[in-house]
Order: sequence, then structure tokens, then C-alpha cells
Amino acid sequence: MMLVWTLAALGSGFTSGLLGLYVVGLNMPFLGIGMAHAAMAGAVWALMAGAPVFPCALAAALTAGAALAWMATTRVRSDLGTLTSILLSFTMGLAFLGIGMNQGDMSPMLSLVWGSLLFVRPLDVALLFALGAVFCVFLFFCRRPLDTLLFSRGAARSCGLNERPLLMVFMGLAALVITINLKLTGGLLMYALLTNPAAAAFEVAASMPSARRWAAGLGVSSTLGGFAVSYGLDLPTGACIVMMSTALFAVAAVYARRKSP
Amino acid sequence: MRHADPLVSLRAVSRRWGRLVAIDGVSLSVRDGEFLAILGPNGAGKSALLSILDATLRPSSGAVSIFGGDPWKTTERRRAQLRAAIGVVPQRADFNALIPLTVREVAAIGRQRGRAFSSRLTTEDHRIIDQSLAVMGVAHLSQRIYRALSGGEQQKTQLARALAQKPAMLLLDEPASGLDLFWQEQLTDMIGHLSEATRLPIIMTTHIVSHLPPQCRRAALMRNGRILFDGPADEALSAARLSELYGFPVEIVKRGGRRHCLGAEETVT
Repeated sequence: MMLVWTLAALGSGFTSGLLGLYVVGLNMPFLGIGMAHAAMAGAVWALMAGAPVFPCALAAALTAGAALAWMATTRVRSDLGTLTSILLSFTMGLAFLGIGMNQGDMSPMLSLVWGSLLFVRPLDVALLFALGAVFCVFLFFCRRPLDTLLFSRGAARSCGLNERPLLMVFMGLAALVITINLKLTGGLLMYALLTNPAAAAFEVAASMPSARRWAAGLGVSSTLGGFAVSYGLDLPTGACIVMMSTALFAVAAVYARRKSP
Repeated sequence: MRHADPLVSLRAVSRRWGRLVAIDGVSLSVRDGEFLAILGPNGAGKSALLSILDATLRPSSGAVSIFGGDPWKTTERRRAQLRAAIGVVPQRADFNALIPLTVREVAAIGRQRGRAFSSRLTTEDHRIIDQSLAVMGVAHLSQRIYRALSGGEQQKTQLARALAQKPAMLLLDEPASGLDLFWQEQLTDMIGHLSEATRLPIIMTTHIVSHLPPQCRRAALMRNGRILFDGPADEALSAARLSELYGFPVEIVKRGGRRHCLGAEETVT
């Protein structure tokens, strides 16, 4: 079982670290927690309707991602960060509305909020690795337009980049990565894993290829390091992973301050 | 589109946001090879007008024609292709300082040109990028991180990015604003030489008369969303017309083909 946990920590750290680079770059720190609540809302309403929980949670996250991409490319004044916060508040409201109306067992829904690396199955790990591979292929082929979007949406638009289909695909993949990671890490931990390694990577990286390597590496270091500390000291795994990712960010920030003026 | 037809034309174009009228019944046209300056005080509507000309802002009323067609009677995909043929340099490029792109990578954005997302840069693309960087005098900075450059170097890189698009028209939105005197002079000279060497049609907004290179032969004066005058630069940039535009008396000093605007009370030697 130890091998499955280690592989789950590895896959989770890699995918969320890499995805986080684009989430932070697009100024959407609340994307992880927003999508987690969308998945949670999907799970709650699925429980009420007697439908399968995980597919409904995934469908809700995908819908939220598509809505966000559509709004971001429609002429609204709010930026992606604000739109993500609006998505978070809406999905949170939807989830709690469902919780208020639901009288049944809430444990499948709560597992999406908290997750657990220790209850992960080999199938979840296989799914995570497959998704990681798909995400890497997407980044390999679309890294230039994505980097352009991150750098300046104004420049992207003026050079004729049609950002809507690109954002739609990106948000779809983000919804998949986040929802599958939720089973392992939970919504609250996802927030830290999408933000901290990526922010640390941007502190130390001198180019986008190196930022991608740093983000994936720091994501893996956060999950594996946190898991090792948790196992060794018999402490809660999620909390140890969050602490580890925050400590790595602090080290990266201090290193970057010393290196540059 | 026939050769003699204007590249872009606006007929009675207005843009409103609620009660605010940013553009009020503007009509103008630009032909191939022309260098048009749009001059006016802050808040005149110059940037909004450029956004209409690069098909990123839809007018509330009036007719727009860009390269012979109305950009708002077509699909978003076609509009994106249209934008790819227009090189735009914003006032001060809004960019995400987190992203460590090099100068060369920023110039390479111009080669995206509405292509498929997965398309790679060809040898020809690399040649065009190198050429654009060389024309703007920033080839020696190509491996430097863009965010670490000075404001003037960043603006030159933005011009290189726009040139790398191989545009059919250049739109410059106050390109020298906010820069120190050295970079203002450098950019103004460079834009003049660019116009002369490439014969690209250029539409440039500014509120500072001395930012216009001698190659600019036509100027439109704009205030409160309206064009007050559109004609030869010598006529438009006269002391009388600029005094009316800015609402106080000014004098014009001409040196080296460029005009400098001074308050009338100041001593002019």
C-alpha cells in the first residue's frame, strides 16, 4: 500500500504543481477551491437525485470551468481573478443549499472536501498518471499560446490569438485535474497545492521552461516531503503537505531576494 | 478591395457607455502608406478610437470598415485573423511581471498571427523575428528577460513584436508617453524611420506634439470624443488650432522637421 500512497503523492504533486503555474499566472488563485466547491455541489445534488456521485461531481466542475472560460472571453470588465472568486461564491452557495436540503448520508460529499491520501485506490493513481500525461501533451503543443495568454491577454488578442477555445480546453483539463486530485487531497489542500509550488517556481525561475520544471518539482517535493513527515511523526497528512509547500515557498522567496536586486 | 480604397474607414461612429460618450460621430479614413496622428488632451477618446480601429471595441453606432469589411459582421475567429494583420503597440504594455519571457519570446508572440495553437515556429518565422528585433535595435537584448528592461527598451520590444506580425497597418497608442527624454527622442526617430522605410500605414495617438516625427503628414485633432479637425499636419498643428484644442494659448517651435508646443507665455528662442 505504501507504493500506492507514494505514487499518489507523486502524481498529485506533479499535476497540481504544473497546473498551478497556469492558475497563478492567470491570476486565478481561487480556481482550485472554486472547482472543488463546484464538484462538491455536483456531489450533493447527485446524492439527492440518487445519481452516481463522482461523474456528477466531475460534470459540475467541467461546467464551472466552461462557464468561467466563456465569461472571461466575453466583454465583462472583471478580470479572471474576480470571476474565479464569483465562481467560488456561487458554487459554495449551491453546495450549501444542497447540504441544507439533503437529509441523507453526506460522507461521499465530505470526502471531496477533505480527501484522503490513505484511502486512495490503485485505479485513482492510474487515472491521475493518465491525466498528467494528457496535460503534459497539451502543454507541449500549446505552451506558446498559453505563455502568451499568461504574459499579456492584450498582446494575445492583438496578435490574433482566439483565446476562447484555448481557455475552454485549459479549463476543461483543469476541472479534470482538480476533481481527480480532490479524492486524494481534498478541496482545501488543493488550494495550497495549486498556489504555493507555482508561486515558489515564479520566484526562482529565469524562463518559462524552467518555471514548468520548478513548479512540477516543488509540487512533488511538497506532497512527498509532507507525506514523509506525516508518516514519520504520525501527524495529519494534509496539514503536513500544506506546511511543506509553504516552507518551500518561503525558502524560494528568500533565495530570490538574495539573488536579485 | 480596390487599391485606391481606404484601408480603414469610420462613418459617424459613436461609442457610449451609459451616459458617457467616449466617441461621438467620428468619421475618418486612412489609405495605404499614410501616417495619421490623432492628437488630443487626456480623455479625448483617442485610445477608444484605436480600439475600434483594431476591432477590439464594438461601436455603439456607425459604420466601420477594416481592410474592406465590417469586423462586427463576421465570426470571432475571422476577427482574430483580422487583428493579426494589425500591429498594435499600447501606451505602456500591460504585462504580467511574474512571467519570465525573454525579449525574443515577446517578439515571437507576433508570429502567433491567428494560427493553430499547436503550430511551431518555422525558419521563416525565426528570420522575421530576428529582423524585427534588429530593425528596432534590440537584437542584442534578445535573451534578456523582458520585465528587467527599461521602459524604453520594453516599448521598442513591443514595436518589434508588432513588426513581427508583418502587419498591414500599425496602430501606436502614445508609444513614447511616460518615458524619459532620451527614450522619447529615440522612439520618435525610430517611428519616423520605420514609416519611411516600410511605407506601412501608421495611426498614432499622442497628446504631445513633439512626439510626432516629421514623416507624419496628416493629423486629426480630437476632444470630447469628436474630431475637431482632420487635415495636413502643417495646418492641424498650428498655434491657433492647438490653442483651441488644449484651451489655452500655445506657440509652436519647429526644429529639425519636428514641432514643439510651448505655453505662449514662455520665452521662445
